[in-house]
Amino acid sequence: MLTRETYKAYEIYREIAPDIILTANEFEDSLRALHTEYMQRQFTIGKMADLLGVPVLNLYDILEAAGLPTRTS
Amino acid sequence: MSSQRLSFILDAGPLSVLCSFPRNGQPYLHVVLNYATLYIPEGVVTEVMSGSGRIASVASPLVRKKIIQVQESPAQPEILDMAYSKILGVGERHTIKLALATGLTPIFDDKDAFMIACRFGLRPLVFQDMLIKLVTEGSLPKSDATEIAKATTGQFPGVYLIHTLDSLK
Repeated sequence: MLTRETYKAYEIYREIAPDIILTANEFEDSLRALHTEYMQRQFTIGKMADLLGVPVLNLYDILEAAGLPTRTS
Repeated sequence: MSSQRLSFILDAGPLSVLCSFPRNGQPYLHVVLNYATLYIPEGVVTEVMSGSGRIASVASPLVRKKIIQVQESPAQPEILDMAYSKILGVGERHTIKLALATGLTPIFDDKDAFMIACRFGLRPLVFQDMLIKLVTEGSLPKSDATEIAKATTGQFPGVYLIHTLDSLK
């Protein structure tokens, strides 16, 4: 079941309306998997945005809504 | 050193920071634009103009009014896409290409984007060093730079602030 934070993040994601819309559960899985790789420095936040199919500027809003941190270096 | 209006190319990260922290209801982006000319690459602009979030709502009117300058990035160097497309996003690669083409200083807060920019011979700055440069070589008041550095410190490693405040003395 989605947390309130993740649902809020999903609403932002749906509002942006990328070409391929994920279901709420798919979105949560993708967001968490990509965020883990991002935090492990597998790629930058810009690349994470590309992989999620959203503009990077909106990804900052999505991460904040989901309660997920950005790297500080 | 005489003060001058400095120019920088902003990647999405620093742009996000400037859009996110308000003073008296106005994001710091408006403060910095009084003292600097800010460029963003065409690729990032598409995101700014089409996005509906908080950052886009702050930045897109400034792009429309041409207060934030927009420039198209060249396709070269192709090696940047070939070697780094798995780790850097399109916007970050456009920022590096635009900096190489214009000679303007890029601002990155991502360590990998920063290091890759250095590998191409650029001398990028982190967000807080942009503030310091705007004070030491531009005309941004020290008090404004200090306020912005303190308000945004959570976005960067905590130890950066000590160095930044010392540089602003």
